[in-house]
Amino acid sequence: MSALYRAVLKCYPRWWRDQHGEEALGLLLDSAEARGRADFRDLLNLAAHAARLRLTQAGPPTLVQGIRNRVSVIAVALLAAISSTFLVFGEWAPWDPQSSMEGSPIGNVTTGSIPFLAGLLAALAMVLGRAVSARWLATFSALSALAIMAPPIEQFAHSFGFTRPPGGILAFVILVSALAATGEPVPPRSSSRGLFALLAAGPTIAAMLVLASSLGPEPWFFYRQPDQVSLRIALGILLGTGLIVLATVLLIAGHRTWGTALAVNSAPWLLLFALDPTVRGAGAAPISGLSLLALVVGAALLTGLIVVRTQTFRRSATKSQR
Amino acid sequence: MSSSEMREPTFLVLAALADGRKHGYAVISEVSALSSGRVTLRPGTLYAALDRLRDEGLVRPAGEEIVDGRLRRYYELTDAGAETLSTEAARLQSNADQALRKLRLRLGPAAGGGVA
Repeated sequence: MSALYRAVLKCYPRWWRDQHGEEALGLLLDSAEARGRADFRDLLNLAAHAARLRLTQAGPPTLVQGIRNRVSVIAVALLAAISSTFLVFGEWAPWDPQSSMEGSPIGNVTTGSIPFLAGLLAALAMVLGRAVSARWLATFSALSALAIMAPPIEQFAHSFGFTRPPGGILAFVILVSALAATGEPVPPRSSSRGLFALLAAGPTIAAMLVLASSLGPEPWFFYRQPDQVSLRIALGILLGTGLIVLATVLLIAGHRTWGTALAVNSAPWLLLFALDPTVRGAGAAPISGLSLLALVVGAALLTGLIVVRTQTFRRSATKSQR
Repeated sequence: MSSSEMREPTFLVLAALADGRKHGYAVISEVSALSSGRVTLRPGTLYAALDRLRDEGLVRPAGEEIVDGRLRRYYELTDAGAETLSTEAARLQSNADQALRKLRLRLGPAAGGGVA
């Protein structure tokens, strides 16, 4: 009977058998013992479940869906920070009496308000537990940021007096929004929603405080001023480095899904190294920003590999002890 | 998972784990007992439910043991799982109370009408 059950369990993908194979065999044998015979409906049910898994899931849910959803949760929190910062300092900016973009009919408002507002609403939807809506809003944020850069739409908006934010900012919003739309941004436990609201608010408040402290008495052209551009790039690099360091710590601690999700989310921020004028000017320096970045990413990957290998080794050791 | 989306087998699996950790076959037996034999969980259905509930943070593995050379893995409710089960049970109870109240209203005038 055991051989028959083992043969049916072979219908499952290997990753499922590694997770549940021995346990399922024990269950089937317990069940057969209680009934005094094998139940073929159980075998059919297993075969159908195995077929469905093979068709719909390429890998273990904890490694595929879990990572995607966590990437999405972190990206939505970061999107909230970006969107609210640009909405307050770029689009609204009540302290700036002159329009920061030429000829806008409503204060400083540009077409960038559309993706930024969608990004902020995505974060709100996530905090309220509306994961599907949050995903759609993040998708809309990415698509609308892409659309307002298209020349025909740009010209159309310009005919009404609206300009758009610089392409670099919009491209960055597209990257983060796309990451937010890769999964369903639902916090793993409903009781942790408060914590995730705080996590989403944290980067927003930090960005606001840092940027507000840099405001001077001069009229402030948020989208144009070169000093502010450098400041934003430096802040972005700092955040990206912080994310990759935190990812490394989580990988060392064995939290593979959150660690990987953080590492993925650090990518757009670390790309800012390429735009940093101080990095570009330091070509002859022994350790440039890019090589430092490569070292940090390499260290994170190495740590992750060590953790995965250690866990695999522990699992095999536990199995051989049985 | 919103409570209105919870299917009966899922509810019964959570209910089976409410009083402590259980292994797979014990969950199947408990679900059958809880539903008075009306719901029979098959192994594939059980593992699909357990995987989903674990991804949602409602259930977690709670140890393993070898009995007669067979691996038994135990599962237990998380705090979030207990909260979800409690909310769903309250919702079902409220619906049942409402239905019974309306049935009593329906039976009341009908009985009165018969006398007149």
